[in-house]
Amino acid sequence: MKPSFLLGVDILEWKKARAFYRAHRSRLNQWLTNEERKFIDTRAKPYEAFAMIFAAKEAVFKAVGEAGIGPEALRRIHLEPRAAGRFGVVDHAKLEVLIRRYRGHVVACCYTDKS
Amino acid sequence: MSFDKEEIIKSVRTIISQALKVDEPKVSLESSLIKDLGAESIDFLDIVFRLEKAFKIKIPKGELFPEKVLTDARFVKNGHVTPAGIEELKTKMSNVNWDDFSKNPQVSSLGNLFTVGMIVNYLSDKLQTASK
Repeated sequence: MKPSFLLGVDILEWKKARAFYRAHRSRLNQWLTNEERKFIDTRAKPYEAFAMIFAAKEAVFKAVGEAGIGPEALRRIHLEPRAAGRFGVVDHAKLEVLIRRYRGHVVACCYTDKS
Repeated sequence: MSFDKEEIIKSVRTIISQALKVDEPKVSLESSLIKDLGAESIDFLDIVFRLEKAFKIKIPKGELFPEKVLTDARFVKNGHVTPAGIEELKTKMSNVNWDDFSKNPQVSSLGNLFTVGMIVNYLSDKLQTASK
């Protein structure tokens, strides 16, 4: 039986996201869409936007019960930036991801938006 | 460039230690990247990129960590790895004891099976093939 409500949460340390972004930003194109890349590149603090995208994708994996290890998996989730710290998920119309900051971490919560 | 097994082990331990910010003596071949060393998913990408740089190789997607299996609907259903998926994983991760995992094959716990030794074995095979 399919669950009626999906929920996935991911937490990522800003510091870790910043270190990753600085070391590997030239490789982000391997697993980000153009829209996601634009979202990152147009921010005053790109590493923060990167952290939001990464955590959001991980939260989606957890909500749908899939594994999110590596670029191959990450590329399959396409995020659409929305207002107020939210992302839509392409091909998963019922899912939405809410992003919040908490004590040096980005917290992404993916949930079923409409039943 | 050729590396013997000891050099590979030494380099991998250093890379893992730096990537995960853990003391090198804590990194043994048996260490699970997640359970023992605290790796998160972003660390797996970091480790792959660091290994590529250090060993001057290209690690094709899904070759070191079997992500392609985990994104294949034939092998994963409702958050669990199917029997066919486990068989597929066995061919890619031959040094793993699959008995415990098979009892409750949750996708989310698969990462616990990724060890430092698994990376060393992968690199030994990869570098041996490359030098032939």
